[in-house]
Amino acid sequence: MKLDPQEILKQLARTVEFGKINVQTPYPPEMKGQEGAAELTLKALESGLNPEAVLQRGLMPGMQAVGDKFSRGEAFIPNMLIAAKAMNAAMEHLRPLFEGGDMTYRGTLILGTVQGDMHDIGKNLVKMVMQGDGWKVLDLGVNVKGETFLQALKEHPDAVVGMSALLTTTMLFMEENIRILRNFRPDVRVFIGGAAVSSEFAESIHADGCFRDPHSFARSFH
Amino acid sequence: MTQNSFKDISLNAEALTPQPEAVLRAMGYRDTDIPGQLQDLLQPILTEALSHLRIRCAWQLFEPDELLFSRKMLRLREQDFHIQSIIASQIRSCDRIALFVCTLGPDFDDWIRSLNDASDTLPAYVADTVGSEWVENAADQLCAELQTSLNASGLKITNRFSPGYCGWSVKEQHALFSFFPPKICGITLTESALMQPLKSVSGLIGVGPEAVKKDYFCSICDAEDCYKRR
Repeated sequence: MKLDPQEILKQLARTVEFGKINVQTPYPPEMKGQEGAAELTLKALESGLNPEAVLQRGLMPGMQAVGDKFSRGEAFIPNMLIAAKAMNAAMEHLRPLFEGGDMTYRGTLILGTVQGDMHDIGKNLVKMVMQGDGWKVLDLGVNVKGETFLQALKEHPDAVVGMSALLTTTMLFMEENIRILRNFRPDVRVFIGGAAVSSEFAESIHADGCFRDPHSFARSFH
Repeated sequence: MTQNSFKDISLNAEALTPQPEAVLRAMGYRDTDIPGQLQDLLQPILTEALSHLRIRCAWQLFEPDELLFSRKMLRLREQDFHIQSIIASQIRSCDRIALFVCTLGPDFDDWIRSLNDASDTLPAYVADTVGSEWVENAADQLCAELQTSLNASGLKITNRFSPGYCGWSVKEQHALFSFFPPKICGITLTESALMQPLKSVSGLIGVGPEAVKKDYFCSICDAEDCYKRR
């Protein structure tokens, strides 16, 4: 039975929300044996939907749903990672079509944990959520010096920059990094995150914002 | 800095295995559904983690004549620790202090890094949370061992307090570590006071005949976003 494209997109969103990667994935139990994000993505394309529509109307609503639950305290980091994995399985089929010129990225995000800091769990989650939200993410890793952020910005001058720090000692590098980046490009937008930072701190160092969770960060650009 | 004699011990990692429920609670799951992928991953992670653990800890006890207590500060020999009022109030009844360090060892960090390098980040996140619970269990066991060593003298201990929490600046890790030999239990400090291996805990414990250990003291601290607030 041929499914209506809208119904395919609706089911696709559910597979992302619950991390149903493909037909072999045994989770969630109520979807066992059903097609997953990988198969439904192909089905959506076969139904005539273009890759952008599949991403925006099938995959992103699924990530949005889990992000909304996260904001309400009904889902946590593992739920987001599980959804992101299903999203990535779907993107394996879409990415070649986008790289052929069909996709417009929402933007480019340069991302890193500041120098002296080795924590990366939060940064990695931001990367996954932002990629899922249609961003190109350049992950500079951990212990990233200001000059490295600057070099990345020189190569991608229209990018947004995201910096993470977990310690009250390492977050102090953020102010100097912002100064370095704005010397090159005064209008660059720089956002900060991590357990140590706060909105007050962000304001004091002239960051453009501070977000407690990656979903809020992604939504701020909508 | 001259050191008193200190205890440096290895702990039995298996005996300190976190309960799965505790790991799930640390991730935030209390009354919400737990994804099947997570439930099925947790026990294998807990089992594999054991092969990457070499738990070591050390403590050093300081006598009354080496200490000066005040409203927000502790002076230990010539070193001032700006522990702030929350911690100061908890150790005020004490006349001795123990400084301690505890670590899961470097192999655990390497294992998490290898999980992160693979394409699936969920196991890395689970392992990271498991590690955080494990090192806290190890620090609790250190406290139990310290108390056992003090029982004969009738001394009791307070809760343990770490730089970076309850208003005590993480910068003072350097001062704390100056009381131990370099690379104590294999732990080093970066310039930014980050302990390596990452799964390490350090801090102080109040000791004395009137010392009190509380079940829960987060209610008197105003750090709303602290991950230890449960």
